[in-house]
Amino acid sequence: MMANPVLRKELRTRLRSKKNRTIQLAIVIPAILVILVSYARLIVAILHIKHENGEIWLGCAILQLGIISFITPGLLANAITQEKEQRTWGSLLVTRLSSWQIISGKLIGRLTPIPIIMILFVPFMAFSAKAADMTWQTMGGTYGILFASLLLFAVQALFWSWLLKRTSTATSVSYGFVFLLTAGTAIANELINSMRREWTDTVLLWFNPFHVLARVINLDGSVMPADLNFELSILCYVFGWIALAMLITMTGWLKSTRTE
Amino acid sequence: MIKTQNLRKEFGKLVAVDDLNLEIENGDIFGFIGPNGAGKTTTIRMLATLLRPTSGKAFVDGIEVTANHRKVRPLIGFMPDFFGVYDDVKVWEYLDFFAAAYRIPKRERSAKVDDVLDLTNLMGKKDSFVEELSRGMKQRLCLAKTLIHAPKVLFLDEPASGLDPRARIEIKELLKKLKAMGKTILVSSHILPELADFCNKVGIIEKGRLIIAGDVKKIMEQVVGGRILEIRVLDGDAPKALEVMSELSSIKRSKEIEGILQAQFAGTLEDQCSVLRALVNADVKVLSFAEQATDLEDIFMKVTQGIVS
Repeated sequence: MMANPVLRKELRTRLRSKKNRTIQLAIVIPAILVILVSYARLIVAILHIKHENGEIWLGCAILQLGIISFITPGLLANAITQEKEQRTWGSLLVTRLSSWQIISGKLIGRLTPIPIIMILFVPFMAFSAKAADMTWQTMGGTYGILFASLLLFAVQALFWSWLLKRTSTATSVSYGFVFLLTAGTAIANELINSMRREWTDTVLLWFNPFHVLARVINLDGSVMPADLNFELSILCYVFGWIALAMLITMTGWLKSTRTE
Repeated sequence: MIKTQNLRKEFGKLVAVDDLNLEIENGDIFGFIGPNGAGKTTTIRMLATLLRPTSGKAFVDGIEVTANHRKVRPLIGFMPDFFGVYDDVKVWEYLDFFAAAYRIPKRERSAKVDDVLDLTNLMGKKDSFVEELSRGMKQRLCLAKTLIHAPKVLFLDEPASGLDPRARIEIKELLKKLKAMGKTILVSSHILPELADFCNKVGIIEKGRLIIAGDVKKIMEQVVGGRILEIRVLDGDAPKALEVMSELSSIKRSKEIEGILQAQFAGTLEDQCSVLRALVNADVKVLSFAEQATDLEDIFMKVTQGIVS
C-alpha cells in the first residue's frame, strides 16, 4: 500500500508542517497534553454516569456520523479538482501510475483523519457497550452504518472531483449529495406524510443513515426489531453499491482513455 | 520517431486539427510554429496521449499512440503550456514522486533526481520548497520532471512562455543540451527567434492545417526564394550597381529600399564574391556588403495569414 506514490505524497503533504521543529514541538506537546487530560477527565466523568440503555453509544455514534457527514466531502471534493486547477493533472495522467493507484491513493490518503477520530471514540463505545450489555447485532449494525456512510460520502465526493472542473462546484455538489441523503430524505418524508395525512416512515428514510442508526440503537430494548435488519441491510447494500459503481466508473474511465 | 497520419481533432463544430501529416526523425528538433489557437497544443496533447483524436493515427517510436498509450507513456516526456507544480513539497520530493510514478526502482531514484537537478541547474534548490522557487526555476523544475524517466521523445508546449529574458535564455540553453543528448524534441512556440537557434526542422500550422514542414534551410529557400544580399553604396552609385547586378546570373532580382540595395541571391559563397568583385570592377563605391539574416519570422509572415481556427 505504501508503495503507492500518490498515497505517500498525500500523507506527506497532509501531515507536514512548514514551521521549524522547535515551534512545532512548542505547539504540539501542549496540545497533546490538553487533549489527553480532557480525554481522561471525560472517561472518568462517563464512568460515574448511569447509562444502562446505551445513551453514550447512541451519542457517540451520532456524533461520529455527524463528523463523517460534515468532514468527508470537504476532504475529498478537491482531491482531483485541485490537480486540475493547479494544472498537474495532465502530468499525473501521463505517468505509469495505474488508474487504481491514483484513485485509491487519493481516497485513502485524504481519509486518514476520519479513522483517527473514530479510534478516539472507541474507549467510550466499548465502555458503553459493556455497561448497556449491547448485542453484537447492534454493535455490528452501528459500525456497518458508519463505514457504509463513510465509504459512500468519500467516494461520491471523489467522483464529483473527478467529473467536475472546479473545486467550488465539486464541494457544493458533494455536500448537496450528503444533505439530500440526510436532511433531504427527512424533509421529503415529512412532506409526503403531511400530504397523505398519515404519520409513518416512508421508504425514503431507509436511506437516511441518521434515521437507521437511531433505530438500530434501540434505547427501549437491546434486541433490534426484525424489519430493521432488512432496513439496515438495504442501507449498507445500496450505499456500498453506489460507492462501488462510482469507483468502477472513475477507475474504468481513467484506465480505458486516461484523458483529461 | 514521431509520425501522424491524417490526424484530426474536432471539438463540436470546431476543427482544431485538420488531417495533420507529420514526420519527425530520430534526433530531430522540430519547431512547431503557429499563432495562438492554430492547433499546436491540441496536436501535442494528442501525441502525449492526453486527447483522443477524432480520426487519424499518431505514432511514437512506431507505436500507435491511442491504442497503446501505456506503451507510449514511458517513451515520452510532456511539458504542458500552462504547467503546474505541487507547491507544498520540496524540490527533491517532487522529482522523487514523479520518479516513483514512472516506476523507477527506489535504489536508482536518488541518483536520477540528482542527475536532472544537475542538468537543470537546480541542485542548489534541492531541499527548498517548490513554492519558494521563481517562475523560471519552476519551469526548469517542470522540465526536470519531464526528463526524470529519460524519455526518448520530448513534447514541449511553449516551454519559455511567460518567462523573463534571462529565464528564457536559460531554458534555451537547456534545450540545446537536450539536443546534444540526442533527444527527439517537438517544441511549440509562437516566439520564433526562440526556435530558430536550435531547431533543424520546422512545421507551420494555421487554422489546424499544416501549411509547410521540413528542413529549416530548405524551407527558407523555398519560401523566401534564396538569400538576400544587402549592399550599401555611396550616393549616386546605386543605379550603376543595380545595372551591374542585373547582368549577373546569381542575382534574381534587385531593388533599392531606403538607400540600401537589396538583391535576391541564389548562388554559392564563390558567387557572392563574384558579385562584390563585379561591383568593385565597375567602380561602384561599396560601403558595406552582407547577407541579410533571414529568420523564421520572415517565413512565418510569408506563409501564414494570421487566421486561427
